[in-house]
Amino acid sequence: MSGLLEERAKATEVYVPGGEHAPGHPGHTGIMRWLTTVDHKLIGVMYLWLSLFMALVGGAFAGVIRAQLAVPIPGKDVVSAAFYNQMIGMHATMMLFFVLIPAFAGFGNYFVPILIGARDMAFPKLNAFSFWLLIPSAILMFTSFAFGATGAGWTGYPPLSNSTYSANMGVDMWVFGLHLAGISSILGAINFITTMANMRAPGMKWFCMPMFCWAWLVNSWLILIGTPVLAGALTMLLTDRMMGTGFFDPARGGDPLLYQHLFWFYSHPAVYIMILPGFGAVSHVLASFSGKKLFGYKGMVYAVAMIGILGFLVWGHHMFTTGMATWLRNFFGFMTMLIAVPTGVKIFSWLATIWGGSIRFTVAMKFALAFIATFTCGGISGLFLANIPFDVQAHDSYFVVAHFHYVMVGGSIMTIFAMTYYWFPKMSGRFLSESRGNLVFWFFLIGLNLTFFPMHVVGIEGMARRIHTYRPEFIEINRLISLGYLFMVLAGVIFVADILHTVMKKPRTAPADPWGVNDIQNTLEWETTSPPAPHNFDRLPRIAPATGH
Amino acid sequence: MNIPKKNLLILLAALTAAMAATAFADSNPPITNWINDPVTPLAEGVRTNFYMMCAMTAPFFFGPIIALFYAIYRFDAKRNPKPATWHDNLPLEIAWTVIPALLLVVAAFVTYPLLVSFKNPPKARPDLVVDVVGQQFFWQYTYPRYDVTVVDDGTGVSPLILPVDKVVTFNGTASQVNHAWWVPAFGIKFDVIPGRISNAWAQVKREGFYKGQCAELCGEGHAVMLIHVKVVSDEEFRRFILSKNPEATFDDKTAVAEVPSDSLKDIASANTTIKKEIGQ
Repeated sequence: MSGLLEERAKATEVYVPGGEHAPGHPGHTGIMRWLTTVDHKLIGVMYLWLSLFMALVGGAFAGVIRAQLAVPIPGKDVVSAAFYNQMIGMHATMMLFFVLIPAFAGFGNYFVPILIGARDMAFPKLNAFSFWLLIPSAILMFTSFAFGATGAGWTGYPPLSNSTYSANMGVDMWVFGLHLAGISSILGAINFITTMANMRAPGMKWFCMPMFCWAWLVNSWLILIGTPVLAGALTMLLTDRMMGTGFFDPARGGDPLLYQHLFWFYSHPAVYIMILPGFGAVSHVLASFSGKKLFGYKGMVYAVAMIGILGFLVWGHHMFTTGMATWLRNFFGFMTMLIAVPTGVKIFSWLATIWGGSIRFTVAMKFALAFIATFTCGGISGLFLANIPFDVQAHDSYFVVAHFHYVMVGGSIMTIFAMTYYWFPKMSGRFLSESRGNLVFWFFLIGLNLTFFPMHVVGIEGMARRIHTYRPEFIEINRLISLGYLFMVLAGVIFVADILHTVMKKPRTAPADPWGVNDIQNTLEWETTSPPAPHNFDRLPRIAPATGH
Repeated sequence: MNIPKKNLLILLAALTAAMAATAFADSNPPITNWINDPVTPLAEGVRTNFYMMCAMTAPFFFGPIIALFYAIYRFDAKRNPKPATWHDNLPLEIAWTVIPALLLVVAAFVTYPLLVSFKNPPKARPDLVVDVVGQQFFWQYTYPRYDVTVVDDGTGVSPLILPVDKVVTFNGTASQVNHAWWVPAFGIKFDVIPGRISNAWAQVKREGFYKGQCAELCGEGHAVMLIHVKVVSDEEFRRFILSKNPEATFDDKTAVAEVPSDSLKDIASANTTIKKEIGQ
């Protein structure tokens, strides 16, 4: 991003927050302004509030899991086995579909149009529709507890999830909920792709787009290609349950394995859907607080695209124990290892970005730096899992739980924290507290490693996942893990309290470029006021021809 | 604004200590698994392979971590007030793309023979075939050649009995929902799926009592669907078989080939209205 705004000197500095330009439907104020808005910034903010709320719910579910596993004495169970199984499935569903995806969608909605110099998303009403679809979806998930929520895990493998072994309505509500969330994702993806294809400011070529936009572009394609396949698998499950079809029933010529193939064809790319925007944002944060430009911008773009493409060729690595042919195992194993190459390019490029920089240790930067370490840990354990003889042992053990939590907490959640601290002043005009942010950072970092690192050990030692009780030899290590969870809770409480305090009590003091990074970064969000005016820019930004990359 | 450096160091030290304590935590009852106690050739292969992966990935884990800590120390704004302006280096980028890719090819080639041996037992005709049927929530084992069936209800009272040093082939299926048969010390794990027959083999080198458990969510009893395997001498194995079926004979020449038994096929295709060939 070396394009310089020609009219930068005339950039908007006059916007009065909450004044006559307050974003929203004209004529509406207060709650009605939020309910009727089609403004991408307000929709983005609503996504983020939803995500924050759901993180508390999903975190509480994790608390139930950790409480039960801290005292797994028969007869003294904290929760029943049936409820425990509901918790593991709903914890994953909440965290994946209602925390990570909406958090990235929120930041994407808010910043993609601004970063490309657009006034709004391409289809503002569709954008609002995407968000509001999540509400009934979440309601379905919550009310399903009244009927016995799905106990088949977030993967919902038949035959366990079919009408014989999960007779209650929970699975049906879960399927419908995921359908709504899926439609929301697909519509959002269409919106993002169209916005970036058509609404870039004059002079902004594809390779002038900031990393966050590139990450969201690849992400949107993954959603667009993958989600319909998940919808197909879930619909087949639904007709098996309700209409007597036999797609997954061997007694009627079907095959339970078909579901696994279809499910993972979406759900493997989905793990990239849940991290690529974070990759993009972390690139911004690392470059900004190093006082340098992002290292190897084009290589980073190609790496993200490569991760997206390879992501569709590895779903079989979730099924290595199903008895697939050796050549097929080998193909999936090798493709999985290959993903390490573009992922490595990203890690090396981030390190090169901070190398030689002049690092300012803001909370956002701390989260971004720690992310490099924790994500590397998740990436390396992924390499182990690509190695089939080991994977067969680690499959469905706590090693896998450790791996994907290092990727999704050590990766995605860390980037979400980094983004929040980085862009919060832009979104609200107020700075989050750096001193409280430091507490959040250290408690979270310690909690995450204390919780998830021992899971590697206990997995290798032979503890299976998704069990509400276990052999007594694993008890010490499980208590340690439950202790780590408390650290993360502490971080979460401080974080939420600080956000509420900042939003309600602090005055808007942030200037257009709150971190003083724009002279090197030249990304458009710093060209407009904090928070931006409803129309983002007073004049359509013009980007000078790229000279940098 | 900033926590003093000293406090950060203390926090880091505490974190490291906690991790180390975890890694070396000693548990009271013995754990049987492939890393402490590999008792089959495959389990030994898994362990060797695991250590090889540790060695190969160590530079890619510690390298970035050390570089990260060094950069945090060296390029602090106080020490390095003026940031560099470079942001490209094509040879470097090509190097860190190509070198890891080549290493991965090496890793794949090194792993391949072990991968093949998972499918191919050392003997074309195994010494013993065991049919494994996963049920909600217990394991049913049948020795088709001796017409003996035992049920491991998860308490370990009636474990699966195997003769030491013999090549055993497991053919598995499930009658209701998916399960996975996992004994870590044997280095194998296979899903048992209704309508399908999957297999694995083991040649246990040492007598003993080995633990395992179901490794695929199968319902409320998943956690207590434990596996117990007792590996005994050949004589003791014969005594066990004769105690269950006094008419069993041990003529090696009639050893069954590694085809799934008819009874297992019947379970896999139970209630099948559209008959189809059950195979891999």
